[in-house]
Amino acid sequence: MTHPIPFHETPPTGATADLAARMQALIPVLETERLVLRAPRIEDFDAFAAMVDGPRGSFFGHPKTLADAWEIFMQLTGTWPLRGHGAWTVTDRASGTVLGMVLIGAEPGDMEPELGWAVTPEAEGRGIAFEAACAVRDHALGPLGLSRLVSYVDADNIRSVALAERLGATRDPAAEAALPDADRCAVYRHAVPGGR
Amino acid sequence: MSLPASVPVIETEDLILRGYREADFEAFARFAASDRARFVGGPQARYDSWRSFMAGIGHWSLRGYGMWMLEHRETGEAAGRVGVIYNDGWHEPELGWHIYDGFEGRGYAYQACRAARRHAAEHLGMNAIMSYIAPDNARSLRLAQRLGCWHERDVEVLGSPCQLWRHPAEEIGA
Repeated sequence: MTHPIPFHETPPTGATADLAARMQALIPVLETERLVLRAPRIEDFDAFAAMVDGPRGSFFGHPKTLADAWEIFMQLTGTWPLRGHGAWTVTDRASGTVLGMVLIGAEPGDMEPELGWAVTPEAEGRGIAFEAACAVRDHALGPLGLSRLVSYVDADNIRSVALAERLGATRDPAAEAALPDADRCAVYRHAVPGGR
Repeated sequence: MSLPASVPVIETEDLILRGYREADFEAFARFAASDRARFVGGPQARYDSWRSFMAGIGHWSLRGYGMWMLEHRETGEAAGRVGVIYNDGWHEPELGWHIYDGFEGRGYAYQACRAARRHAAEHLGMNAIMSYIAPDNARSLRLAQRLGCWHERDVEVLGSPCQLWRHPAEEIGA
């Protein structure tokens, strides 16, 4: 999947910018030591498309074409009004550079709200995904009040398995057995504070 | 947060153009699964329709405009979708229309397109907007003509041949 026109998506202008800004303002900003997690913006799309091409796209529906990546990018944003959660763009606090995306998703086929993540190649190996995923997990199980949260992980995806375990999530064999055959994967369940 | 509250509402004689609600999904998925969706990327399994439904909402948040759900005033049912779509890789923003089963042949697409086209010209800075039409979509070609559009050129959209039809400019402030 190669991008024919690199970095061509530009911010909306005029009246359309106002409506986009109003809608994006409804998405909470999460801050960590090194990161700011904010609403997805159109100009993040090129970084998203590059990031989810290949194994890094495992939480994002494995888009095979740019058109698929586009639809998934819009879907991640559109989850917010329906479910009150969705995807955040992970940015570097100092520079604003896009480093990845973390989501509480309601993708087709998901049985429960899912915590998923992807980071750009430049952000790998620096604990960025861990820092961002912790912030989103704490938001999901804290202010958002979700009573359950899982991560559907391809068991061959060593990086994601390691991150799920570092987040303290544990395999849930019953949830794995309940998945349709076509969606077989490891289900990591995140502990809910107070055991709700 | 609420999408319906963010999306402008436009009323016409028979329709209310408004933001999507989750209750609209059944009508959306039925249309997407039908043969009539073949001109707009379908037919589509219900599973994929859920993704498309949410994507249609995300378009509003990312671009600041999108497609409206058409609510049939008389029954409250979802009658279709009309609005402005600009997907990555397209030439420019498009005025698109989908009319659901049971609501065809009543002039609703025409009515909604006129309202959406005027809104785009007055509020989105998009006058003389275009519509992509598949060369074998006879119904949509007829509607384009009725809307006063002309066949500007043949194009390829993400690898598929398509006709680009140009709408007449609206008189703004008239």
